[in-house]
Amino acid sequence: MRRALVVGMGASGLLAAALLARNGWKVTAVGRGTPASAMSTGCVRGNLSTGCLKHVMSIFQAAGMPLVGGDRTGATNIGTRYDCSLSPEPSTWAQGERPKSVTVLGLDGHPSLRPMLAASLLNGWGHRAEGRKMKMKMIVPMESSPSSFFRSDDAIEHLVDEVQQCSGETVLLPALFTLQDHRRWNELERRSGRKVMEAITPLGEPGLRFVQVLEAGAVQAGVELWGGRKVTALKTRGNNIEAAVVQGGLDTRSVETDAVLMASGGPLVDGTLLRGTMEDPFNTFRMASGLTIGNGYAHAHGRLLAKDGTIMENVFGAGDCLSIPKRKYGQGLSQALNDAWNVVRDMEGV
Amino acid sequence: MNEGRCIKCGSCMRACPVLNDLEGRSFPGPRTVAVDAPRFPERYSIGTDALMCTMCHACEWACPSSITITRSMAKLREGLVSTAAPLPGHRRMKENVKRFGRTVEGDFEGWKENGKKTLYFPGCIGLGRQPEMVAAVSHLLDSIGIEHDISSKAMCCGSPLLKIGANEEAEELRHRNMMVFSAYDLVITSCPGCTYQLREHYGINVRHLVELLSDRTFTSSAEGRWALQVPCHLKRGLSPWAAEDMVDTLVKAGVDLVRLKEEDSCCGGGGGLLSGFPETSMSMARSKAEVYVRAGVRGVITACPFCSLNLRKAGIEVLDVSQALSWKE
Repeated sequence: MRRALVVGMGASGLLAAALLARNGWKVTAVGRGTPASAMSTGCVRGNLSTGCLKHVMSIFQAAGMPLVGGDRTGATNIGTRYDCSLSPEPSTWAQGERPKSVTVLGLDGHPSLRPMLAASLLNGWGHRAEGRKMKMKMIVPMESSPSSFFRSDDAIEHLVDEVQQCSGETVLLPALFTLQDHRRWNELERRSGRKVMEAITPLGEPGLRFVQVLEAGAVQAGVELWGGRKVTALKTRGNNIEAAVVQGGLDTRSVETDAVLMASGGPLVDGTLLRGTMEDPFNTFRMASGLTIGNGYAHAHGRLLAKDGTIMENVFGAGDCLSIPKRKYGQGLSQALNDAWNVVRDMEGV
Repeated sequence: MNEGRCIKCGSCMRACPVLNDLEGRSFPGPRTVAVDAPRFPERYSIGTDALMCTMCHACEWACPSSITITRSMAKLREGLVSTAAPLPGHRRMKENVKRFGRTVEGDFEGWKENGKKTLYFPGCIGLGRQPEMVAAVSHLLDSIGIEHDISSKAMCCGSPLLKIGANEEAEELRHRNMMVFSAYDLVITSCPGCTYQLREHYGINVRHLVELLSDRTFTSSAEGRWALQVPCHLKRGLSPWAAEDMVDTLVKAGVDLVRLKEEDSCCGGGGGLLSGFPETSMSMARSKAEVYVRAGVRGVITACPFCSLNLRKAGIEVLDVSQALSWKE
C-alpha cells in the first residue's frame, strides 16, 4: 500500500488526504494550530473545477451541512455585499431571490454582528433594512464566541422570541451555530415563520465548521489524522523524503512514507517562515524568488524543488505554501481546494 | 517567550473553555492574560485573572503562530506570589502540603513498600480522594506482571504548587521525591498532571498507566454505552498518541464507546480552578455533563483523577481506565 504523509491540516491538506485515501493510499495527515481556512468565511469565492466541486459538495452533504453553489450573494457581519460561488445554505441567496426586507438582529454588546452599521450599509446597496439589538440575559464579553450563548434550549427559546418580534421578512443573525448545531437554522425558520440568514463572518464559526467538515471527510475516507502535532524534521535521501519526525506534546514519533504533500500554509499560520524574506522551515526546499506576499515554495508539475533547483521526486505541494505569482484577494480557499484536486492527479503518477 | 508572534486572529479565545462558559465571563481570556499583558504590562493589571485558566492547552493548540500560551500562563503564575493574595482554596492547598506533604488529606492504607524496582505514584487526588481507583490501578499492574511499590514517602509532585506561584515549596518537594524515586527504575502514574510534572520538571523515566497498556489485550466489564473524558493534560500536554492509544485499548477490550466532539474539552477540574474558583469549575463540569446526558451514555471513562472528581460532582458516573479494564489471561 502506498503511504502518503500530508503536512498541514487546512483545506488543501484535508481534501487531498481524503482523495488519496479514497484512491487506496495509506494517509497520515499532520497539522497543528488553526489553519487559515478555519479563519475564513467558510464560503468559496472563486470557481472550483467540475470534479473538485462535485467532490467537495458530497463531503459537505455527508457531514449534514450541505453547500449551495452558483451565483450566490450574502451580507457580511458589517453589512457589506459578499458574492461567492459556494456557501452554506443559510448564508446566501441566489440571483433574483434577494430578500425584500431585512432586520439585522445583533447581540447587544457583542461585536459578532453590528446591527445598526450593517442595516445602514444594507440600505446603501438597495435593501430595506433595519437594525435591532437582541437583549441578552447575561453580560456578553466581546472576546467570547457567540455560539457559546446559544447552546441550551432556553437560549434557543429566547432567540425564537426575538426573531418573531422582528418586522423584516428576513432576519440576519450572527454566525451562532457550531457544526453540531447547524440544524438549528431550520428549527429557527420553522418556529419563527421567518426567513433566517447567517451573516457571512470571518474569524468565527463558519470557518471552523468548514474545516471540521473536511476533517470528517478525511476520517470517513480512512485518513489517520494527527492533529495538534507538527513535523519538525524530514529525512532526505537524494531527491526523496523517506521519513519525518513528528512532535506532539512532550512526545516524538517518526513516520516513514513513500510520498509527501506539503500543504503547510503561508507565513500567517506558521507554515512558511518569515524572516524578512520567506524561508523554508525545513531548510530543504527552494523558495520562489522575486515575490513578496505571493511567495512560497517554488514548484514544477505539482512537485517542490530541492534547494539546488532540481525537482524533488516524491514531494508535492498544494495551497498557500506554494508561490503564486498572481495571488488574488479572497481566492485562497478556492485555490487550496483546486490545488488539492490537481495535486492528487500528479501524485498518482508516483 | 514568543508572544510577539500574535496575529490577533482570536483563535485562542474561541477555543478557551473558561471564557466560553457562562460562569467564566470574568476571565479576560488567554490572549489578554498570557499574550498581551506580558508585552504591555503598563496597559493591563492581571492580578489573579491568570488563575482562572485551567491550563488545558486548548488555546495553545488553536494558536496558528505556535505561541506557547500555556507556558506563558504558568510563568505569569510563578510571578503571582508576590503580587496577589492567594485565594482561600489555594491557601488551603499550600497549608495541606506543609502539614501532610500532599494537597489533600486522606487515610490511605494500601501502601506497598517491598523494595520493588517499579514505583506506582498515585498522586494526591488518587491517595486522598479515590483510593478505589488506586486499588484498581495497582491490581491491573499486578495482573499484567508489573510488581510495584506504593510509597508513603513520596509526596505531592509539585504541579499544583507551581500553578499558584508556590515555587519554593514545589522545589522542596522535588528534592524529597527525587530521594524516593532514586530507588526505582521506573515510575508509573495514573494522573496526567503528575506525569507531565515528573517528565518535564524531574526528567525521570515516568509512564502514565495508559502508556503501558497499548500492546496488551484486555477485557472489560463496563456494561452499556460509555463516552470519554479525554484528559487535557494527557492529550494536549503529554502526548496526543497516548490519548489515542487509550481509546484503542478500550475499543479492543470491547467497551461500547460513543465518540463525541466535546470528549476532549476541559471539564474545569484542572489548573487550580476547582479549588480557586469552584463555581466556574462546577459550571464547566455541568455543561459537560449535559453533553453526556444528551448523548444517552451511562457515564464516561477517563484517565485523570481531577476529571473523575469534577465530573462525579456534576452527577456523571465515571470510571477510571483502570476500572474499565481487566487483564485477559
